[in-house]
Amino acid sequence: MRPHCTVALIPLLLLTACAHRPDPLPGFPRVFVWAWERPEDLRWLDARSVGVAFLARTVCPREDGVAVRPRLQPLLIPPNTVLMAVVRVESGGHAAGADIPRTARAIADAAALPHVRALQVDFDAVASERAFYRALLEDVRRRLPAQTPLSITALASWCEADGWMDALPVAEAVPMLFRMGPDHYSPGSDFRGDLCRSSVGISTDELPSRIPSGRRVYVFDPRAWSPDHVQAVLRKVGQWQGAF
Amino acid sequence: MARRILILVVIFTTAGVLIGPADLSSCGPFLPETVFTSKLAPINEPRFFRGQLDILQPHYQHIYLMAAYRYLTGIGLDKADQQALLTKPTVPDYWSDRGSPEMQAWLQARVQVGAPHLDEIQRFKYMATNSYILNCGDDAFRNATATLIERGRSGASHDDLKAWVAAQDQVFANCSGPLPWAPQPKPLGPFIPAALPGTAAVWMQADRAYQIAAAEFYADQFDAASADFLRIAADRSSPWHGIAPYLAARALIRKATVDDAGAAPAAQERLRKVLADPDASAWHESARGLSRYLCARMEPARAIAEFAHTVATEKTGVAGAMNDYRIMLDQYSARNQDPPRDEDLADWIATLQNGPADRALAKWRDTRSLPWLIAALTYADGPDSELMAAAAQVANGSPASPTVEFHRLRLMPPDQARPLLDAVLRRKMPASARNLFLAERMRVARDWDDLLRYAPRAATAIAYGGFYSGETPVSSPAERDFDDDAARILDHKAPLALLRLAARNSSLPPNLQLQVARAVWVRSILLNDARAAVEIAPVLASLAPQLKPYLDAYLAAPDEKTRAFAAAWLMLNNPGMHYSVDSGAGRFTPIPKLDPFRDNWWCAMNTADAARRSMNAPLELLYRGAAPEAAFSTAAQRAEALQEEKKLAAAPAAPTLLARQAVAWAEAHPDDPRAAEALRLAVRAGHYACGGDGETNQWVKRAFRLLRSRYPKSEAARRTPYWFGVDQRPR
Repeated sequence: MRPHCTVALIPLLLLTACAHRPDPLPGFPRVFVWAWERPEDLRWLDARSVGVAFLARTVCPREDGVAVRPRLQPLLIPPNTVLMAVVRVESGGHAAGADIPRTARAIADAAALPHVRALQVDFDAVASERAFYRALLEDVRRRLPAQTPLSITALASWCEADGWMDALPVAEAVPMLFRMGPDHYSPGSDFRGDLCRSSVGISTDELPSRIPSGRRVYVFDPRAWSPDHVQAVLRKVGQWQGAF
Repeated sequence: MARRILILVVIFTTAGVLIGPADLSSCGPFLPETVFTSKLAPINEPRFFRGQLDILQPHYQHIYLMAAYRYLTGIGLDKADQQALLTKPTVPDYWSDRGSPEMQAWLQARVQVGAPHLDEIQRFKYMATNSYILNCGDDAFRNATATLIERGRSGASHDDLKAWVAAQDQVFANCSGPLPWAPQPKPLGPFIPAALPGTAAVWMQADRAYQIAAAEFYADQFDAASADFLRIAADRSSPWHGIAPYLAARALIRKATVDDAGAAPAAQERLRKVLADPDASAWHESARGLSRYLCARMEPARAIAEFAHTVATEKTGVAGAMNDYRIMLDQYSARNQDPPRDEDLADWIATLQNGPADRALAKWRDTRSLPWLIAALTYADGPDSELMAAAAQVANGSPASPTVEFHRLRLMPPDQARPLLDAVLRRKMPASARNLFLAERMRVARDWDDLLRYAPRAATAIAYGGFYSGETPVSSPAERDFDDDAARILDHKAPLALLRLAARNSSLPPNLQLQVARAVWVRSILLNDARAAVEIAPVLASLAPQLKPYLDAYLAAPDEKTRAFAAAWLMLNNPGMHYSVDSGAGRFTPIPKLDPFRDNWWCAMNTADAARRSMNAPLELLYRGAAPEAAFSTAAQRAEALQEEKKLAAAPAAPTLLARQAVAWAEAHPDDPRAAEALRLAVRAGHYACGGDGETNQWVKRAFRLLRSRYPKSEAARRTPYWFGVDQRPR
């Protein structure tokens, strides 16, 4: 290749590099299975390629304090599994008056569970709870060690027309492409907002035909995980990534 | 007066906002769905547990199928078991960071004797399985509080009580063990109170022995705890000697479940001794439950078989076993595993829920039992003569009778079934069963009038989808509605000509006449059948008076274009206008209002989808995957319905049609005072309609631009700063 051609390609290469957001969870597996509140024996899992995001606790902010329901079902995993603690927030409509520091502490404590490397918050905040949620995430972020990534799940609508998540102190927002109700996802389309462009959340019983390329995939299974289900998901993810 | 009303309105509205519903879920929306016959649980549980099974649904939850099996095999349930099954377990509020009421009572009681204030006691212990166990339940705090009060009343000195509380604090310090995230206490534990010298008061020594054993239990020193509880049992002077053998067993059970499964046989042996001791009768029921629990944990395959056997054969006292069996079946299901089917009950439940037909029939032929007769009938697709003869022999009054009758009539030729169904429907029966017999009768209707007579059904419950699904019974529904079968026939199998008759048919209540008249009028517009639209307009106006001014304008329109705009104007102002009838209560929002969940105008008709979509499960018992048909329809009527359906499928989506009409009218009649508002409403339709098509964006955008350019200072333009595409993004 002649030198002037190479020089001409540099801006193009730079643009291409800029078009892809750097992985907000570097070194983490590209696929996570969500292990919800049920007994899960995942000792057969290949920990090199699949991480486990497990429901560690459910935190309910209340007007008179915070209720914390810890995980009560066993989760068995192979050694060296990359663990992400998921904290489900159930506001019951009381988020507006809730105690943010106590709620944040209850959430952030889950990151201190043994072997946990990242924290994910799952809260379907309604519009009136967004100010609370933003303040809550800021407080949680302050309480976490700097090297612990903070992830959140996101309704697909948050990643569409709605820009309320801009500048949230989180590494990623995982658009949930299942149980979407009136929302819908058009395979092939992509989400607005950088936070929503590094991962997707899907369910084994509602697999989309395609997802945007290069995404970390979080997978929910409405039943207990089995090797067959994980293999099927990995095959599908391979097809998706190969299709782009 | 008006001012007072206003103040009251403001107060109640504010209170409503501030108080809020107690259990508001942030998921959803979970919109109400009408239930005519429940799929998962009988509407009237007490009636069902008394043995009135009505038409047994194969997808009922396991506990109901167990109860049904017992009645079908003649064992039934005694009153105590019925009551126990109706009693829903309450889950204590363990989760609050301020503790449960029992914990709070203990924390307050201990302060009364001078103990330092504590905010809470961590009661969950973190395990190596990335999860927690509830180590200290409410009973422990309740017992501690009651004992402290009792000792105070008995005259114990303040110093003794203070020492007693200090020891109890040590007991509860073992509840959580070291927490991964919290600063670790020094020392880390275990915290075992010291034994008292023989010079201490006798009651203090006895209580201390109990506190030591309890502390060992919570600190996972199970063998020591068990041995100490047995020593307490042997001390007849101890107030704890009665409960101590039971607690010794519990210590071994805890060891078996969290530490060493090898302790299970010893734990079962301890439980057997408790159960054999008449003096321990107060703990027998609990010991039986623990025995089943331990068996389920340690030997699930044996346990589930034993539970099935108990549920199927024990005459009384089976509610606990039924609940345990239910839990185990649910666990198998959660693990994607089939439970063992060695017991007849287990096999029957699995076959009734999933078939296949030949297995159900073979089992019935083997057993000739009522449960298997029902299973065989449920899956029968043709009138097997032997099966039908057996069905005919089932006596009225048998718990199997309504189910058997329903399936027997389903399998009969229509001419034979019709008079028998008429006789059945003259009987008194619950609405859920009546609805299914009405559906069965409608399926064999002789003509259109006959079909409409059996189409309306009474709701029995309202269900909400999603994770929090449940059904709220409706005791006396205000109106009757269409179920899936009638709605499918009216929407897909009836030509406009028949629908016009239905709108006036006196068998339909006014709310259903309105649904049909509305569908007829919108269909007429979309099918360009002005004669039909004109003919139905007065009927529609009488059923929905709020539409009358629009319909009068439509009827008075002097030419085709004016009439087309009058139709669009009506629909623009009435988002509840659509061309299908509702299954169930349907759209809750009044016709002139926008539905917040976009149930506005019509969605694009996907005929293939509509044909594929299954109906609710109880109706599927009847239709078995086939689409409901008006069997009496002529070939010409069927062809006409098909042709109309194709035209409707090809018709523009609502926002496209409405925007196109609004633009055309505004361009042709720019000075019409309705023009700007029509454009605004067309843009609004683009935002809130059920769906769009390939031309929607183009027409909505045209309406928006025309509104902003031609009527820039109008109120309509002011209220329309954006337009929204079919992807709901603002432009």
